[in-house]
Amino acid sequence: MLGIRFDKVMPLLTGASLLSIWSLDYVNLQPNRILPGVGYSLQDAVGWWWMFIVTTLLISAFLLSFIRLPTKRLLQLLIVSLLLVFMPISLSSFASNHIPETLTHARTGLGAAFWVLLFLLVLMLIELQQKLKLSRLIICLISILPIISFLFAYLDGGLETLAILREYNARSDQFHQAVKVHITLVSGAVFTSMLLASCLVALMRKVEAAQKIIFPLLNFIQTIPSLALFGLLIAPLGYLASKSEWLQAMNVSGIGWAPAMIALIAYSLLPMVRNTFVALEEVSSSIIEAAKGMGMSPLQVFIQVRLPLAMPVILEGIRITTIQAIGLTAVAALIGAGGLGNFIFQGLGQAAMDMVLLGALPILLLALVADLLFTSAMALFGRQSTRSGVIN
Amino acid sequence: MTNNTMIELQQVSKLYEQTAAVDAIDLTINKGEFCVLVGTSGCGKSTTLRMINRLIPHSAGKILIEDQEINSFNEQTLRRRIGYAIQNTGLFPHWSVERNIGTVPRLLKWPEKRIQERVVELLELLNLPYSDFAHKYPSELSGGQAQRVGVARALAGDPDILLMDEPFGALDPITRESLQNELLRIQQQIHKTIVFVTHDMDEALKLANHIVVMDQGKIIQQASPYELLLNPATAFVSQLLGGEDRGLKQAGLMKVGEHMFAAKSSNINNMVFNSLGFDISATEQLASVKTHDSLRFALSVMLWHQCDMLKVEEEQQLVGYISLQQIMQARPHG
Ligand SMILES: Nc1ncnc2c1ncn2[C@@H]1O[C@H](COP(=O)(O)OP(=O)(O)O)[C@@H](O)[C@H]1O
Ligand SMILES: [Mg+2]
Repeated sequence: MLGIRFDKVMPLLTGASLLSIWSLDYVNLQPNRILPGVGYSLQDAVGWWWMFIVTTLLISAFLLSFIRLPTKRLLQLLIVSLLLVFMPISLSSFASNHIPETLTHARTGLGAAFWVLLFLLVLMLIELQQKLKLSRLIICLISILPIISFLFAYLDGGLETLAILREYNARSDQFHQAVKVHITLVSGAVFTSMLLASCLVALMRKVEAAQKIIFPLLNFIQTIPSLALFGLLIAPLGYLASKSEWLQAMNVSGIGWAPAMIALIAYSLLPMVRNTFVALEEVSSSIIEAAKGMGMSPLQVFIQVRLPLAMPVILEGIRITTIQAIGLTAVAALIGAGGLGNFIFQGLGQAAMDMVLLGALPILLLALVADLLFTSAMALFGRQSTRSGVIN
Repeated sequence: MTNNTMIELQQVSKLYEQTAAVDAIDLTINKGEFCVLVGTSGCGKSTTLRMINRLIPHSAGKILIEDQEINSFNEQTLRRRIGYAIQNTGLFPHWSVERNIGTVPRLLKWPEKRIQERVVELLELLNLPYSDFAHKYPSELSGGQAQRVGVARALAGDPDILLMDEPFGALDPITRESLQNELLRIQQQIHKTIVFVTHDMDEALKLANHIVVMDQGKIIQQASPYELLLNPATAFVSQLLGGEDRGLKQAGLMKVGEHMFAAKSSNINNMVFNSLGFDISATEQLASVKTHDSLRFALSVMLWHQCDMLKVEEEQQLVGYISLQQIMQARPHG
């Protein structure tokens, strides 16, 4: 039939995936850290049988875009999930097929096809989420699947040789320390800015003039590049620390955790204050009037009505802030704050991509977990917020 | 002031930066009265209403409830004694219908069991079956149902006074009419003192036994619906009443049952018919109305059937007749 309009995105993404696994290296194998590696295509890596299955799945997803089937997107979602689960397994399958026990220093690096496929699968996931109008919670749960399959493959010992894990094994103490510092910095910053934001919002709701000062100020801070803000704090903090024994005792100096924390809090304030303020202000005035008219005290109006109705948007603010802080903390490694950013910058310095990954992947994972936590919390309140549609 | 007075406003004003939203009004509302404030939008009705429960503080004058100045009460205590329903219901979207209705009883610290019983009782009063509605959320209700819940919530603390600000303003005409009827039915059972705000004169005429017409912050006239129709004080009031439509509005306030002649034995009927110049044999074909229908409705039926005599029936039994002449001569006796 003429004139039918098909999806263009899914065929494009699945087509590109096929092209990449058929033309690019999926993994490469280094006998040790020094020697150059040898590339393997997906077929070489996992055998023709797996290659056949993956290709068939991708072709099916491709073809599904062109037929009229009410459930076609769900089927595509299923295929994407299967492929995501397959990816970690493919690595352990590669290791067991191609790495002899004798090569105790062999490392498996991830090739272009691996990254391209992963990237394209994530894009497909986003595309399908939008088309199917799925909640973010479901997508978060689907993204957990490959992580679970990764853990299984890891516990099974199949991923011993993965370069990133070799890096991890070489410095696991350092890694755990870095994760701890990263999480401490983020949660410290988010928690403190939550408290500060509550005070600022309370002030803004009491004194209207405060809005005119606080919003422009926070907006301005947000526009300073993070590196510049970290740098700007070095001199004044260093000066203060040199003057105060108390600060020295707290281990405060121009570099380290203190300037990082201050900058993180400064960046966190805008999304936190903005969402909290807007959420509280936008509760419908007729609902507030009814609450007062029933005889609720101002405190009761706030706690029983205004705050719960504002909660989904407030949580959204905390979610944005947390994810933003997880990323920014990586940059804070540059001024000696520690955290996972250390591996990224060290790795970049030594051109050791696996070490960069050792920093970057956990950061990604942290962001994902934070997203999942807040999305579930919001889903809990969201059930009510969907019910808060205006009644006429 | 007699001890029959519930609410009294003495020279009450509300100023917003020199301009008076409400301008020195005097108003006495008796216990059990259904008082409707009516006027064009912006005339100060809502302001007047909301000064009574102190959502708006009055700038001058005195507001008394049962002889006590309202400022002598604790603000919250006062409001918990006064039911309040508004146009967009103001239902709490995060609470179920049951919890919404229980708001004031809970603020009054009633025991849970009594609150639950009260909710059951009110849902029944408003024709919302408990099992179907108690656990729904406001967004799952139609406009009419939501407004019923709003009324139930206003009544929940068993207040003596009920303030209602255009509660049916956002509803479609059919739903609005059925809620008006329901409110009248409920008021016959509970005898609250109701202060009701509307800009719709028909609604005012239908519900009120005390109409207060306002314009630009002042009270122009207050009277019973009949009096208002018979003697509008100013051109503005008669314009509000719909000018030439007044006759129809008045007919709308009178019931067929009060003005028909009752059917007696066929002999007497015959005599009456003869005196009216009617042929008794034609009565079988007459169109019929009910005793509770208004004269306005009867007139409409006559126009439709192009006749000047109707049967009045109740449960398919003939109870009387009404003629065009009777409608023309009818005067309210209320
Ligand atoms: N907060 C306010 N500030 C200034 N003017 C107000 C305020 N609230 C109401 N008004 C004015 O008071 C008048 C009466 O308002 P209102 O009582 O709401 O009228 P309505 O009869 O439509 O209910 C209107 O002219 C309105 O503009
Ligand atoms: Mg109004």
